[in-house]
Amino acid sequence: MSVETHDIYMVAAGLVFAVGLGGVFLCRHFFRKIIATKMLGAAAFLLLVSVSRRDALDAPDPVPHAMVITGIVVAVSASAFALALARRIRAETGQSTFEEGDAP
Amino acid sequence: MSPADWATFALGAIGAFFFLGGTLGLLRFPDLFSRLHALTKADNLGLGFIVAGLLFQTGSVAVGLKLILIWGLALFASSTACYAIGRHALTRSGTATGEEAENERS
Amino acid sequence: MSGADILFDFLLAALLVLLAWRALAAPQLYQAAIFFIAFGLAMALAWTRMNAPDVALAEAAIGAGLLGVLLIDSLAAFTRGRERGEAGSKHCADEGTRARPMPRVSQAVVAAAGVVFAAVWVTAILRMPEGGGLTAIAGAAMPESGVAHPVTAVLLNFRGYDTWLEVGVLLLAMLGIFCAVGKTGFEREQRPAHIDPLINWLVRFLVPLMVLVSGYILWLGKTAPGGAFQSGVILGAAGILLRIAGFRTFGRLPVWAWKTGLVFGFAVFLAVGAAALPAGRSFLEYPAETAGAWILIVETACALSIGFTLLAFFVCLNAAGGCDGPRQPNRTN
Repeated sequence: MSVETHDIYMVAAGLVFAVGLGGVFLCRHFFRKIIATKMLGAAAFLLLVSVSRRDALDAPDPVPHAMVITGIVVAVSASAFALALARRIRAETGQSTFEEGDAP
Repeated sequence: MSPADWATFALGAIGAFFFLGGTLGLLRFPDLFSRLHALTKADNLGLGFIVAGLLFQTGSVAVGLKLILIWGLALFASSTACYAIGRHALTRSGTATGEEAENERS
Repeated sequence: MSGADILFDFLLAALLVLLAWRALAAPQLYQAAIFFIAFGLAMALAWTRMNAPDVALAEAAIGAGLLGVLLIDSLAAFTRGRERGEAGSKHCADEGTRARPMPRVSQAVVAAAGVVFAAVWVTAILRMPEGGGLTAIAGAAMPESGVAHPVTAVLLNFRGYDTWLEVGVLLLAMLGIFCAVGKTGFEREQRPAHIDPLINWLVRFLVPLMVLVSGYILWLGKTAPGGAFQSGVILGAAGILLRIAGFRTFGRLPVWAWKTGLVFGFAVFLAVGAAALPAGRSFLEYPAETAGAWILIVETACALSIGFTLLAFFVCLNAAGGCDGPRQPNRTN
C-alpha cells in the first residue's frame, strides 16, 4: 500500500495524543496540565480531519471541518477558563499543583 | 518547468538561504541583541525573496498585491517586535550588552 | 502523491510530535509556552496540508495566537513571589514540580501505557472501514444554504445549532472566568500610559487594517475560507493589541457595554433562530431564498461578540494577575 498524506497525520495524531495523555498524568504544574489537555484536543481534531480527508480526496468534507473549527474555539475557551481557575487557586493557596505542601 | 517556475525555484532557494542564515544566527550568536539583529534582518529578506518567488505563480494582480501586503505587514510587525524585545532587555539590564537579559534568556 | 510531498508531511508530523513532547518536557514554563505556540503554528501548516484552510486560519489565530497570549500572560502569575529566596536560582522552573520527581515506576507505567495506546491507535486506523463521508450530502444541499462555501454552509446553516451553542460555550467560559477571577478588568481605569512612539505608530497603523481585514474575512466566508470565527478573532486581537500597547480605548467602556458585547452574538443568533418559528419552520431553519442575508446577520453579530469575548478573556485574566499593562521588571520570567 502507498503512504498518503492523511495516513501520516493519522499516526501523528495518535502520537500527539499519547504524549498529551502522558502529560496530563505526569506533569504536575497546572500550566503544563492545561497545555497537555489542549494537545489531546488537537490530536482528536487532527484525527477527525485526516480521516475525513481519506474518505473525500477530491473535495474536502465540510462537516468535520466545521466541527473542528467549532471545537478549536470551544477548546480555547475551556483553556482560558482553566487558566483562570489555576490562577485563582494560585492566588488563594500559593499552590500550582494538586499536591499538598508545594507552597513556598 | 516553465521560466516562471524556474524563477520561483531560484528566488525560493535564495529566500530559504536567508532563513537558514537567520536561524544559524539565532542559534550561534552570543547575546540577545546580535540574535535579534540576525533574525529580523535575515528573515525579513528571506520572506521577501519567497514572496517575490511566489509572485510568479499568481494568476491575478489581486493575489499578488495581497502577497506583497503580507510581506509588508510581516516587516512592520517583526521590526517593531524586535524593537520591543530589545528595549525591554535594555531597560531590564540597564546596559547595552544585554548581558543580564542573556543570563535570563533561558 | 509525489515523494517530496510525503517527505514534507513526514517531517511536519515528526515536528508536531517533537513539539508536543518538548512543550510538556521542557524544564521551564516559559519554554513550555513557546513550544506550545510553535506547536499551534505547525498544526496550522498540517491543516493546510489536509485541504482545510478554514481550520488552519482558526488554529493559527485562536489556537496559537490568542491562547499563546493568555499563556504568556499567565506565566507571570505563576512565577510571582518566587524571585527571591531559595528558589531564586531556578528562575521560572516548575516550582515544586521538580523537587519531588514522580517515582520511576509510575513513569515507566505511563510510558508503557502510551506505547500500547499508540499501537492500538495505529491498528485501529489501519483497520478502519472506508466510509463515504458527508461531502456528497452537504454538496447536494448547497443550493438551499444561501452561501457558496460548504464549510460556512455547514457552520451557519446545516448545523447552526452547534454554532449557536458554541457561542453559548464562549459565554459560559466567560461567566466561569468572572466567577474565578472577577471582572475587575472591566472596572479598572487603566493608568494614563506613556506609549512608546514606535509602538504607538504601529498600533495606529495596524488596528484599522485589522478591522478592515476582519470585515473582509467575514464577507469572504460566503464564498471562500473565512467567516465569523476567524473574523472575530482578528477583531479580538486588535483589541488585545490596543490594550497591551497601553491605549485606554476600552478603559472607558462602562460594564454594561462589555456585558452587551458579550451576549450580543448569542442573542442575535437566538432571535434569528426563533424568528423562523412563527412562519412554521423549525428553529434556526432559514428560508432558502433569503438564507444568505440571515447568515450574514448572524455572522456579523457573532464575529463582534467573539471578538469582544476573546478580548474580555484577556482583560479579565490580565487584571487578575494584578499587572495591568507593562509589568514591573520581573526577574522570574
